[in-house]
Amino acid sequence: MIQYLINHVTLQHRIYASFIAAAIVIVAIILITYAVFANNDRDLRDFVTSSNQSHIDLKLTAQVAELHRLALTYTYEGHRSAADQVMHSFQNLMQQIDNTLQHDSLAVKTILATIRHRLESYYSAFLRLKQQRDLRQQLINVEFRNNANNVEALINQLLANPSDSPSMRLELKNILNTLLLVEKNVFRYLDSLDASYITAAKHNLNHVVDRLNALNQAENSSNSTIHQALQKLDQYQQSYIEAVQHTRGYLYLINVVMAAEAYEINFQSKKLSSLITSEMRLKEEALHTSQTEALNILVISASLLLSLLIALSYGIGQSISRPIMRLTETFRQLTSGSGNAKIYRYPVVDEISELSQAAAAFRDKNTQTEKLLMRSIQLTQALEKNRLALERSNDELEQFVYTVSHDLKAPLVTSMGFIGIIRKLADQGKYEQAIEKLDKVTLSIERMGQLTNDLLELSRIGRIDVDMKKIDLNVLLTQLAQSQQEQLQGAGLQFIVQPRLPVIVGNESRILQLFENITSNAIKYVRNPEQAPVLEIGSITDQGHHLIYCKDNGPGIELAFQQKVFALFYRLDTQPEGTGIGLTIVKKVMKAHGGDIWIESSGGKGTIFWLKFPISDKETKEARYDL
Amino acid sequence: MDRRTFIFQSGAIASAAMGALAFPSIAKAYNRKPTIKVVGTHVTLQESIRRQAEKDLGIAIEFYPGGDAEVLLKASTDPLSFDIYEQWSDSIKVLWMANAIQPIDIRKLTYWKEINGLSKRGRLTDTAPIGLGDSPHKLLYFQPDGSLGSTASGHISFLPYVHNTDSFGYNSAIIPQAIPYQTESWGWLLDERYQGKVAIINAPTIGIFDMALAAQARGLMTFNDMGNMSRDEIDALFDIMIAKKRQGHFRGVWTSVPHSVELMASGEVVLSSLFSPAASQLNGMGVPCVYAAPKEGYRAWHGVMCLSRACQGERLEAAYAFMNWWLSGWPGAFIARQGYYISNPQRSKAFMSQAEWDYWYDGKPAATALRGTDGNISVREGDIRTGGSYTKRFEHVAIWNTVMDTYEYSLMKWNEFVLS
Amino acid sequence: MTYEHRDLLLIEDSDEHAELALFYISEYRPDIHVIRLADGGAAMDYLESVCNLNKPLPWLCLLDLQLPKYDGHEILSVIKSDSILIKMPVVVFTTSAAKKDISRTISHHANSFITKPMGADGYGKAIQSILSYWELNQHPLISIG
Repeated sequence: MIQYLINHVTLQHRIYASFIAAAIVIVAIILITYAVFANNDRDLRDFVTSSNQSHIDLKLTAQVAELHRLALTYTYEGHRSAADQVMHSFQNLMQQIDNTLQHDSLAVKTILATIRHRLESYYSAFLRLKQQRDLRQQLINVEFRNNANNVEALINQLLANPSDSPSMRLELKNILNTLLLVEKNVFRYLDSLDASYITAAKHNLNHVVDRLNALNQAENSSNSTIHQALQKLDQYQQSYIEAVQHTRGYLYLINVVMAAEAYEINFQSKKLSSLITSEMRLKEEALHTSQTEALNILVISASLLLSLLIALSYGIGQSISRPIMRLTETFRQLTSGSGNAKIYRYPVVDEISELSQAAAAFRDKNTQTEKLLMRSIQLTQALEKNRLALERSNDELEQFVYTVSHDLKAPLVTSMGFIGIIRKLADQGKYEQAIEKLDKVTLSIERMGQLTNDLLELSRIGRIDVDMKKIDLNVLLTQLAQSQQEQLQGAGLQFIVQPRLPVIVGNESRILQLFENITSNAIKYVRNPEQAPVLEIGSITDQGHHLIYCKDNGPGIELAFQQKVFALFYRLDTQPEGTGIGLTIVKKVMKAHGGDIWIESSGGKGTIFWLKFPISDKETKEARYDL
Repeated sequence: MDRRTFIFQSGAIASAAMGALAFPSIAKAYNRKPTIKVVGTHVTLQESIRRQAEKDLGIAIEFYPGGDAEVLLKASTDPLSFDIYEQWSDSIKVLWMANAIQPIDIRKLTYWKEINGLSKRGRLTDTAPIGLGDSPHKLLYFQPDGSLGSTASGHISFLPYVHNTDSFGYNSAIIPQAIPYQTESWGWLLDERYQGKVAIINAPTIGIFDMALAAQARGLMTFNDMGNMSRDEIDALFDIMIAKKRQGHFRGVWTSVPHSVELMASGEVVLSSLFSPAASQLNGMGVPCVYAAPKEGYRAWHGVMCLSRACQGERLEAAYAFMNWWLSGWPGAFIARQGYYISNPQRSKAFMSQAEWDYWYDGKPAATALRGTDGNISVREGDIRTGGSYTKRFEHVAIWNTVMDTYEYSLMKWNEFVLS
Repeated sequence: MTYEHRDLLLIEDSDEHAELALFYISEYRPDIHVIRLADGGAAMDYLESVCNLNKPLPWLCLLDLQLPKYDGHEILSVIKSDSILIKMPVVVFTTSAAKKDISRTISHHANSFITKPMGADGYGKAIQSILSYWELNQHPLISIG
């Protein structure tokens, strides 16, 4: 993933991606939290509703108690307003129950339905109570009074009859009193609700009936008034018996039927309450469970999401930090001047890739600097070399001056010395001898001229080496052999030039001078008692060099003198012809061409001069710095 | 089996009250056959009985079963609304007082002589104690002074016929089964062990005696005459009841037989005053309900028939015929199969199998499985009726259902009790 | 005045300079026998023969510095490092007047350093002075054997 991110997504986008991932995770956690708590909130609301309903019994009981109190008030006091209040209370209660009936639990609904049914029964009982009570009031207030008045009026009518005997009148008054007792007992009953008063009233009434019947028989003639009174008495009794029955009826309704309904409502309310409480407990448990679950879900999902976020952050962080760390390492290496620090290439164009490009540029600069440094070291080395060469050159110059002063003085000393001898001989008159000595002076001065020329020649080498070109040695040496033919023949030296000599780069006149000096040396010094002197020139090409050998069969040069022979004015014998400069020139020419010269020889077996020329132009050119 | 199912149902009160105007006083006008209207309880006003009676007697019979209070109110205020009123012996006082009934001439009662001593003298055997309260015989005879009394005369206020004893039932899975007449006691109804699981009937005329028997059995109080309590005694009894209720002793009161069954079956109640059909029904449902035979004795009741003061002529004759028919055997056998007794059992015996007689009347194990009036098997082979034989049962009558003079007062106290 | 036979060892490559030396030596001291050696190689051979062949040790040695093969410095160091030859006074007689040559020969125990004069009479006077000076040396020469 990390590699993919590095290769396909820009740094900026990676950073944005990490923030967006974090934001998504946070939003997800918030959403989950919301969902979880929304769910819980619903549960909680249910719970609170249940909790509110859990005391429904107290409310209902209180209301039913009030309802029943009002019903009792109406029953015993007969207040119409109480009856109206009963109706209102009932409707109010029904309304409440109907509202509560929205409850979702079936058990609760069942109980509520029972309560509702009980309440309806209660109210219908109350309606009947009202009816019976009204009927009773009607009976007591109207019929009972009318009947009582009617009977009393009839008795009074009989009393009003003047023909009646005193005993009869007494009997009638007695009847009238008993009748009043009936009325009194009835009212006593209504007042005390003691059934014994009704029994007493019945007794009284029977007494009246018996007396009237007795009177009727005593009269022995059907008295219509008495007959009427008896009939009225029956109605009278009917009216109060009915009132008693109505009273008992509504008392039964209120005290038994309605009380039982009220009690049942209270009981059911308590049951409802405990049911709701237990449901509430269940809900509480469910709520607790769901809360725990919710919490678990929340914790798990949050940790999962956070883990994801951490993983993502790690990935993105790595995808950001890894290239940066690589770059840091790269730059650390670069700042320490490395020219081969590793630089990663990133396919996407972003800050990192730009930095990588910058690092690459840095590295290129480093490489250049390194090269420059190398060049500087080389230059310094070259400078040092030059300085050393200069010092050596100074030494050589000093040596040169010293040598020159010594060797140039020698002919002067010679000539002045002989001039002194000549003067002496002349003084002594020995003129012939003196003149002979003049040659010595001449020779000495000639020799000085020769020395001066040779020195001039030597000094030119190294100054006139600009004219470098390819020189075919085969051609050059063939020409040399032809031009020196005379001298060679004079010395009897056999000059052999081997074929297939190399083509070298050099200053033709110097190279020619070089071979002339060697040839001249050979002419001067190659002497062999046994063989004819031979000088053979050939070549070997080996390891980037042309090696030219000049081999003679002369006396050879001892090892001790093999270096010295190249020194200025150094001579191996006192041969007058040599100035001791020839080989010095040869060596200087070789050096001027970037080559070298050395001697291979062992005494008596000839000498080989090895000339080493570099092959390439470059070496030739580089060699010039050495001068 | 519809016995007193809805006696106290307020709905029934309503229908009776609403139906007052429609009472069929005009039926006669278009019915050639004599038609009698019988107003009374569900216990005896059963459709099978009605059809059988019509078939046997060739007359038209209309049954108007209803709740006690309202049929009583109707009958006491409108004698024209019925020919025969059939209800409990203790309600008849009201009708008598209201002059709603006429004396029954015993000479016109075919089986009068067969009616046993329980109904006529308050006891089946000479040694048996007479139950307290308004034992039917105390209200049986019309006295010369117009009152009702036990002194034999030519006229009676009602014809005693169907009767039984009541006690309480208990769940033997919860309460260990006790020994009838020895350890079973009304006192259990107030026993703390059954706190919160006791129910009683919501009827002051009945429930008050169950409570009185319980209070007396537990030694909480005594009565001068339990059958005729004074207001002080009622106050004392209700103090006990209300205190108990406030302790949460009672699950509640029941208002109908199904209600009592439901309470026991649900397990909310393990001990309750019951009517015997409820106990049978509970056993049928798998609830092991024992119908107790309390050592203190039963609370007994007696069904009776009265003649309306307004009944006369052809209808009077028909009414007498209907009353005689009831004691003619078949109806007695019929209701015996529902667990009730008839006042002249011997005549019914012929209409019953030996096994039936042995089981229902003699308290013996059922020799074979017995069928109820609905044709289903109601008694399994080997079953024994709790409480024993008819005789043993009615030798143990503690009290008769009674409407006391303190009835109205007890109603108010009842209200207080129920809602306390 | 009696003169012992005296050998003078002249080591000089230049024939002309040798002739000049011989001329003046024969002028002033004809009795002195000059043994002239023309190059370094011959000089070394001779000196070796002095040591090995009991040849008489020359009285004086005139030594040029610029010589073929072995130069004067080399010959001087051979003479001055040999127990016999060391007794022979060595006069370095050369055209050089360089300080380098002077200090080098002195440090190699040369007995004298004379630059060959340039004047017409100078050469004769120098030879005369050298001979006169070393005439004053009265130490008997120690013969070998």
